[in-house]
Amino acid sequence: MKPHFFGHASRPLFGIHTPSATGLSQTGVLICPPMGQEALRAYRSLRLLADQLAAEGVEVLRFDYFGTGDSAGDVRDGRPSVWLENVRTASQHLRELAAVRRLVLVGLRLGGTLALLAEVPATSRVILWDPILDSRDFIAELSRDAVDPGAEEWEVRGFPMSETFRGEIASMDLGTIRRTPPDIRIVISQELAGLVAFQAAMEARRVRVETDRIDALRVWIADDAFGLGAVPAVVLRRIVEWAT
Amino acid sequence: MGNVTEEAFSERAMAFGRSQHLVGVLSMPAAVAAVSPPGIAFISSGIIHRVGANRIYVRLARALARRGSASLRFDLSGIGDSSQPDDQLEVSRAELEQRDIDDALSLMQREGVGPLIVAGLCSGADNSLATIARNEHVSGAVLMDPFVFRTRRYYVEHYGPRLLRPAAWWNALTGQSTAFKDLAGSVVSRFPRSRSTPVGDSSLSASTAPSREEFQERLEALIERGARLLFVFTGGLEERYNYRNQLFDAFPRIALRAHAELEYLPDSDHTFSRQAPQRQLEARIVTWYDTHFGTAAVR
Repeated sequence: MKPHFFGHASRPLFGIHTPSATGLSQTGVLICPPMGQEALRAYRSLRLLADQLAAEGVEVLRFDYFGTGDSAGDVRDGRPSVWLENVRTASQHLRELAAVRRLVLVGLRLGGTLALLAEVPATSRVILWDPILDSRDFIAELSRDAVDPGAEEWEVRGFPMSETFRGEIASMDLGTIRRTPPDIRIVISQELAGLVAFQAAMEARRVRVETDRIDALRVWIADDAFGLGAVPAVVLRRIVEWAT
Repeated sequence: MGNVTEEAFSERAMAFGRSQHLVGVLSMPAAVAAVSPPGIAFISSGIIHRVGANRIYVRLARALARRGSASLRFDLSGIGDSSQPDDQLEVSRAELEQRDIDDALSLMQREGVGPLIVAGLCSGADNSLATIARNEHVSGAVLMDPFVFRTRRYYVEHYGPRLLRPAAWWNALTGQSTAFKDLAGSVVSRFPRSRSTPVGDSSLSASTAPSREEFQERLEALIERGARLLFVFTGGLEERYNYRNQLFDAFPRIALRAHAELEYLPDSDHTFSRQAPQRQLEARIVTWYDTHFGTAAVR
């Protein structure tokens, strides 16, 4: 496991490279985390996912978006348009770091949405874990969790979200993607707003979409502050199967 | 490959420790001082990784780095990105974590950081107190919502307002009240115990929690040594702490007020999830640090 900073010198991102346990690999997996409190709660699951992927012989990179985790930037500096660029930067970094030819992007919640919208070239598969497919539905969810949804800046489960931030979330539209990956896999553990429309839109573009429903703990929202260690092992196993 | 670099400080991601099993981020101020000010080790709390609850460790580390102080935020064994060390089966979890903290402090010393301070929230605070009590190279500690003892006034504050509500008495008379059952339970439960038995705590198991006497001895030794302590209590753990000077009242026979500072943030939850308490916490720690360890204090 190799912790390091990468990317632009003035805005470096924190990353953890987990090398393939079986030697040289042609496949690299980039894990795109969710945002805010969800990222903290899901951290352990994504770390174990990386370990399991590397054990199966792929190169793995996890990273923090700008203004989140250990990456540079204040919490108010991070926003979806910046994070989209971060996904592209991290993808390129993984290619250079591990000299991989095949790239798989795995994203949890907003990380899944960003993995698709980043339109990373030569991505062979995108795996979405309970992604945000309907931005209006997501804004409504954030509004329910906001301390004062009437305020200009929302505080949502420990993290501030400006009007600009929310505007960028609201404008995220998966229908605008020009470069679609050839293969999309979705694992869901709850009813997912926008799933049917998304599947139809992708199939119209001849993109293969496979969806699997696994009833499992929603680790990104686990409400017990002392129970953050729970890991949905079945979901991780399915993602590893799809990515390797 | 870059590090986080502002004009005032830079950050490096590192793997370190006796088994190279720990992961942390070292923040170093850009300016080299004639006398190196103390650096702070932020100890991960519970299962939350090194950025801290709601990223407060990152916020605090960078605020201190801009003022010239180094820090290391890191994950204990098996938490966040840290792995288990080779000696994981040889010792208890508590001892393992103390060895991890020693590894972190050794790293800071190798990096040229001067005196050392430890800081943490909840179990991170408990670990910090254990470290400063046994390691004389550590000269200060910031303890956020640490293990603490209840006092008589705690119970008055907790049950008093309920006893004044007519509805509470009606519920008691009709057998619907949980407050009265709780009060009776807590009174009864105190009789078989010695006065030194610690009252329930969520971050320390009963087997590892210090007794009141042990806790007091620890504090007395720190006072004798001239160690500087900052206790921060939030309103998030009302079942543990519910008025400003509860800590001082719990140890009336020692001169804790003269050596320890105390901040009570009743409007904050346990993890500082609101922005206003985060700002208050940052300002309080910076003031405490400047008072006792800043350039003026060092001179």
